[in-house]
Amino acid sequence: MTLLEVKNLKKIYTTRFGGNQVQALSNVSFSVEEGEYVAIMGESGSGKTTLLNILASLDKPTSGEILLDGKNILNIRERDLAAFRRDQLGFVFQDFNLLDTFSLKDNIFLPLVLSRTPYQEMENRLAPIAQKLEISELLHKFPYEVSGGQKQRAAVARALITHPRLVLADEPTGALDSKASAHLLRLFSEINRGGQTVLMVTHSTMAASHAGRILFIKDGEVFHQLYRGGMSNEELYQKISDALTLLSSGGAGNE
Amino acid sequence: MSKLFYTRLAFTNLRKNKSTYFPYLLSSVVIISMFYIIQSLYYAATDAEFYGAGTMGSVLELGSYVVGLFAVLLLFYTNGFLIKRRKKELGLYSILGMEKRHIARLLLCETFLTTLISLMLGLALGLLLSKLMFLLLNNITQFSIQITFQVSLPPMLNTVLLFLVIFLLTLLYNLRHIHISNPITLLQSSRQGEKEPKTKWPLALFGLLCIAGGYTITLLVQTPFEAVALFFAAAILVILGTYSLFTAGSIALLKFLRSRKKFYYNPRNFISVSGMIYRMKQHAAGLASICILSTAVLVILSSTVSLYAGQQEILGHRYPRDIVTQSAYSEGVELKIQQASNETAQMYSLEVYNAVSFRSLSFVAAKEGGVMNTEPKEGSISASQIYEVVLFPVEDYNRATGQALTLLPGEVFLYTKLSPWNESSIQLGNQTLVVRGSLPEAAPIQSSQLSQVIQVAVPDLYTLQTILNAFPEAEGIRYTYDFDLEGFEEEIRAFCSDFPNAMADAGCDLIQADNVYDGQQDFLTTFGTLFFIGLFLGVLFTMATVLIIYYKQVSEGYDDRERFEIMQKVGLSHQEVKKTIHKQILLVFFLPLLIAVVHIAVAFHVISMLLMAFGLLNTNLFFLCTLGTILVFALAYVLVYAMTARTYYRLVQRKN
Repeated sequence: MTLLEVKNLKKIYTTRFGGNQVQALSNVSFSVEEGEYVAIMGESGSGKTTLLNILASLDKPTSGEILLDGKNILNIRERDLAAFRRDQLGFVFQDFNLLDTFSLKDNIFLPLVLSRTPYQEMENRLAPIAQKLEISELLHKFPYEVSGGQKQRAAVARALITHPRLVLADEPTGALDSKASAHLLRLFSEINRGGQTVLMVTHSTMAASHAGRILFIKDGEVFHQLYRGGMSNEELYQKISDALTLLSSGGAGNE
Repeated sequence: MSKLFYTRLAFTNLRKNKSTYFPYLLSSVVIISMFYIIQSLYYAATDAEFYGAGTMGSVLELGSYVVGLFAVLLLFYTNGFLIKRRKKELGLYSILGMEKRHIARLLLCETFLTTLISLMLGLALGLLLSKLMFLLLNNITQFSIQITFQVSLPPMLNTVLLFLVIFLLTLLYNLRHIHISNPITLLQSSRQGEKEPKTKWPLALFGLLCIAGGYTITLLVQTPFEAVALFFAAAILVILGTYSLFTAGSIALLKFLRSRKKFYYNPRNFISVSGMIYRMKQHAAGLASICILSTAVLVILSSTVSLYAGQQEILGHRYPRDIVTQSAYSEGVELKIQQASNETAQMYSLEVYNAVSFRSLSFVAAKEGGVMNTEPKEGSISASQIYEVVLFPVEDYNRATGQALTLLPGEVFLYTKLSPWNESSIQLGNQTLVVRGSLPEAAPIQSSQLSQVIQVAVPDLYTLQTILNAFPEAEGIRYTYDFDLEGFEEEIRAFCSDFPNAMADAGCDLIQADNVYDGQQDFLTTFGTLFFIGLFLGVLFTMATVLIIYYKQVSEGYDDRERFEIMQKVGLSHQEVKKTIHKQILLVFFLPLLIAVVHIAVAFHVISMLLMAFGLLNTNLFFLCTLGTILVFALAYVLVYAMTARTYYRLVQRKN
């Protein structure tokens, strides 16, 4: 079943005095099946972040459609948007975005508290997630007391606790060392095996090599895509490297 | 580098940081002008030669010390805030290659500019407003005295000197701050992950005890004498308590709220409570200062307004009649004094009327049950047990008040001012007298304003003399002859100044000869100046409150912006952000005012006792004045809130 469908997405930024127009996305279309693990790759300035912001309903496209479960999220009213983001989407950011006034546990609870979930229910949901993410012992610590990898795992827990339809991850390994990155990517794969749909934006080949499908974006368009098929992570890594080389050198010939 | 480089850079910096520097400059200008005004009033009052100038001068001198001290505190506080905000910028300069001495030079330039601007504008404003203030002061004292407007050098020099020193000190403070830190810490100083504050139970307990102690003292006070003696101690305790409760008690309370799951895990409480814990850590001292300042404004304004508004009444208590005399009583003295007074009045073509002729005996004693003891054991009695006992024959009382009371031998009527007399008898020396009832009204004679007073109407002069014999240390029976005068004002004034001499010439030996007209002038000068100072300090403290609140809002706005951005990312709508912000600001903002009002409510009793020491017995008037002051102040507070809340909201709003 198709969970997310993106059709002909276009985004044009106009500079303040209307002089210059910058086309961030020219024509992006793709779809994500339920339970898929998709990575979107591209160089800086290719439009990755713009795409993610639009998918997260933090930004509006100039034209195009985004269907989540067949429903156009661009038609959601402004005041329902926050609740939509809270209930349907889970976010993992590069710089964690944990609040330093909350303990890890309260940070994870934040979206649930905003939806007025009873305390007992929150505890029930937290226990298995915390165990899976190996942060059960850290729940009462504050963000400034734990490492980057631990912070990011808490952020993942916060994204998962609402049982979102879709988890959006923006460079989740960007601020982590290689060991913490590997750990986090292993966890993402496990979460995905549990049935969670994940959409990750990254320019790390290592991160992308854990995904089931990789979309390459260049100059605001989906330029190429790779399926894992039966490949191992290492084989996929090699394929991605090749594709990236093609993208930056030979790619010009295709346009 | 051109010589003007630093000056230009300093100028640009001030302009770029205008949202924080403008209020700083504005408050410097206002406080400089206020200091100048009060100084020039003080110099004018000491120069002027009139009756009561001394009182006015010393009140104004005291006022100018308060303003000066306050200027130091306020400017240091705001400067501290400014330099904290700018650490990052200064760190950047040093990373871009400025040496510390260059930064020092830049700061020197900036301080020089701010000093120059604020001193010039401040003095100009002071000069402009001082004329107005002279008029106001003269009006308040109803021209009972007049100080003339003058522009003289000493107040200006004092002002310039004081503020040069203050600005120099702030510069030194800033330089030290820059000197001891390196660029990286400067750059990151505003982004340090802050630790959660610890609950300081001992301090919270200490605060609670201080407040409880202060409150108990103020509530237990029974006489103005005690109020005067204990007010200062109670105020210190309450101030200490307020500071410790704001710093430690608030965090203890918030952590307790956080531990209550049902309450805490609720959208708005969740964010407010956790945010407040950090907020209180940084701002507790500021909030406590706002609270103390607000309390001070309310106390000063309400009491000075009451004194000013109630001066006619105070006058009436202190001078039952226009002319007040007292002399030692002996047979025949009554007639002699009455005749001499009447004759003197006739010389000025005035008529004596409303005369009160009264024989009385008074002494101080300690009340021990029904016994009035003039020689109590040292340390065994409290101030509220000390009474001024005033005895008089019932016939004198009847004559003065128009009553027709009768007493059998061994009986008395009583009148008490503060606490009621519950015993059935009263023992004076070796006489035990049965209390037959209370007097319908107080006898129209002067009595102590500090201690408890008991008036005792005895059957006759003989009883008075018997009691006097038991108290050899008493001053003896006094004869009071008070009267009003009918006639032209000019003649009354002439009479007043001549009266003591004329009586002495007639062979009357007066212990006291006062008149209400001199008293009135005294009152207008004293209470008028007090009222003026009250208004002046009230305005000053209100300004400080506003300034602290503003800076608080701005600094919190910067700190909270990031926090609210994250919350919006994980699913908090604009509406919810607005609500949460609203709740937090309301709490932070109105807590000090609320506690100030509680302080005032508790202190009401003790302050009304203090006012009694000044002779103001009208508690209703004081109540109304307090209520009015609170309302006006609260209104000003709400206005400031409305303004600063907008600034704060603008700061934390995510811009799309």
